[in-house]
Amino acid sequence: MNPMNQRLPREDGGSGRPQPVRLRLVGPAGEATTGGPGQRFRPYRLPLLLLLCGPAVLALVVLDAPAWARVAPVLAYLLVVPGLACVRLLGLADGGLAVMLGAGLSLALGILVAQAMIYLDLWSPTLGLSTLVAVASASGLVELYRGTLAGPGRDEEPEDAP
Amino acid sequence: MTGRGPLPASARPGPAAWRRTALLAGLVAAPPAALVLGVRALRATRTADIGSMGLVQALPAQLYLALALLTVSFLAAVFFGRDVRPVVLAAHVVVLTVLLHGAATLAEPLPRFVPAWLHVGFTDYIARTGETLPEFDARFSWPGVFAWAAMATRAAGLPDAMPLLGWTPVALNLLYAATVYKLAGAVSGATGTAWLAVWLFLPANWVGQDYFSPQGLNYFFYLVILTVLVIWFRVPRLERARRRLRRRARQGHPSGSPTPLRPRRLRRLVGLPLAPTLHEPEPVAASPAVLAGLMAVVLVLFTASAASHQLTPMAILVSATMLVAIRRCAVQALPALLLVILLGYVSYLTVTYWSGHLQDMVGSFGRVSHTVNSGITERVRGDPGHLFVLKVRQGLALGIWALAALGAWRCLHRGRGDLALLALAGAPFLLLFAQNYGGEVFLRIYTFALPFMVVLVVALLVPAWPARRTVLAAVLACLLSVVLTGGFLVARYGNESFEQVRAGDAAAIEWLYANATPGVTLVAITSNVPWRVRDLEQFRYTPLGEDLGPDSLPAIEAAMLSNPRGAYLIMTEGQYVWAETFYGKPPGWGQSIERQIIASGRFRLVYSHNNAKIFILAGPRGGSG
Repeated sequence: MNPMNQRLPREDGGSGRPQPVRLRLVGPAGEATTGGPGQRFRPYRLPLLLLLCGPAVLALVVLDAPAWARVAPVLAYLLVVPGLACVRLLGLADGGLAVMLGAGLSLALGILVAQAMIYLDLWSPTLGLSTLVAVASASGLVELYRGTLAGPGRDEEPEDAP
Repeated sequence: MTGRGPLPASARPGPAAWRRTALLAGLVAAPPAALVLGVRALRATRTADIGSMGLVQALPAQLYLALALLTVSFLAAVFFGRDVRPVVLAAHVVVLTVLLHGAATLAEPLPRFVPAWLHVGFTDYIARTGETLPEFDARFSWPGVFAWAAMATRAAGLPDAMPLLGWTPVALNLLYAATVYKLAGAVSGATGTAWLAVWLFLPANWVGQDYFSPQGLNYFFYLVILTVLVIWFRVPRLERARRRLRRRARQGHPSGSPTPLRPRRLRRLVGLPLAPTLHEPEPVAASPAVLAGLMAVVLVLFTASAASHQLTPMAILVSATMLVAIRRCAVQALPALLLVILLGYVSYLTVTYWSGHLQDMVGSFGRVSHTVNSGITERVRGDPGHLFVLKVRQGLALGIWALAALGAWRCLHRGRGDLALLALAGAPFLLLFAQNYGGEVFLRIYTFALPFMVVLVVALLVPAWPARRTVLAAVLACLLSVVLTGGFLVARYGNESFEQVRAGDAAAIEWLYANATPGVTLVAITSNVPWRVRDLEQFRYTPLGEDLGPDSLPAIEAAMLSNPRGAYLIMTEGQYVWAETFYGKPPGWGQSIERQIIASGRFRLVYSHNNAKIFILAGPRGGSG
């Protein structure tokens, strides 16, 4: 199809009208989040990855790995992960929007943490990174917990679905 | 013979299929080919050829060839491509970003732009001390971005933020492009519009606020916040109608009475239909919990913005207020919330700045003519080459605004007007009433309005006009793209003669930091020196601002004698070029001062290399104190 005429997928199915909220994950408080239709969802993979890469990056810093080995992982982590881990809790169906919001939130959280360290006389880049890793890990854990509570495959279409 | 008969005609790929395959192959091959060609051309650029019109005078023809290949390929994919994967279009966008916004990085030996070097110095100070210096520079009262960079570079094992300088514009523009794509997609609902908006946004974003700076990062926050408001927090049409009915009922109109008269004559005069916003986009549906989470994201982003830049939170506040005022934002308390955050930060954490600069902060409030004068009249100066660059900038800005106005009219004419988009394109102009921002307010207005203006410009081309004339629309898009790309190279890099950092200037500063005793004064005849890049609290600087320094022998001598510990005078080519190009000083101005200094016999030359010289006073109060 010519991309000129191609419609963008919308979270509400493109009708322009509010759609009934599709349950994908159900949290402890019973809150519902939006989800795309027919989405094959592995509730543990990405949150687990987000959970594990934090300590890995922190280890590089604490063990004082050479700059060439940690520049890319540390900067990429600070740019994307803390915010993405938080935004994933919203269960947005559009992955691109989630990454964009995640990048914005990561930078904003980084700024607030770094500035708070200055005003509280607690300046330490490792402490700042640890705080952001803690935020990302907590969000990842919440997502994992919610995914586990919902049960694996609960949000998937049945195999014999038409 | 294989024993098989010839394939039936229907099973053989026909000419159309071959053409499609060839087109796809071409589209896939174009980005890497353009990247290789463009990077080689930029690497071969002779920086010595950069004149008063900037980098464009030195760029090899191969770069234009690479850009032409990329443009044709991208527009072919957008207008005629079938089954083109988004990754192919994204590759075009990435290569365009590298070739346009990374051009100076690839062409010049050192990262460009003295203010960016100064920001490295700010970052270095925070990283070393964990403190700020609000008395030294106003930007230390909004240290968020410097603090983040200090934390990130130290955690990443970098000695300072200098390695980030060169590629920051490319990284930031990729973030902007991703946000503009989502924004344009949300308001138009079509991938073609979204891709085209990104394609035009990149060369139209020539203002150059995307260097290693608070405003560069804050522009991303601005885009993300407004994108979230536009996608999720619009008021649904039904709700707007309900509110309207309630309002009319309160005013005493019976529910069945006709709607109040509208300026129909005016509407007919400009050719608008009865309901120009009939097909306005609706908000994306989401649960209250998701909306609460998104609002929390908005507030965190705004708080970070308030903590890291003076102007951007104002722009966000004005735009959000505008959305609420025209009933396109469902959270009516949002402006009040944002205002509380902003005032809270300014009241408590920037006291050191505003207690001495209240006049600077609010002095131009409401003085529109003063702001216009300082933004336009007072900035139009310099040598003929620089004046040409300024004219190109004005032409590009006015051209984008005029095309956006036509695009807006076309949207309204088709009943697809989007009041939110129009409001966001117009809201930055209200900044004229607030601040002149050091004479840069028009640049900022252009930048803040640009993403929305670009979407309106694309509305002129998509859907194709006249109907079904896709080729014509593609040709017009190509022309627009060529004009914007050519204009970008002049407008963005037009100051490159003095915005580049010369190796000789940087080497002289290195020598100075290695040899000068802490506490001495460093004097220059203009502020276009790549100093204060480290140990900034250990020296005094004249001039401290962004202007001319002492430029006569008595003034230079007085500045050097003012510090009993001693002083160094640094004379570099970058300073002379800046004064001649930007301030319109006569050719040879700097060299003439240099000759007077040498001839006076009152200064002693302590460093001379690569068109950079350093002097101390010849008497007993020399540089070493």
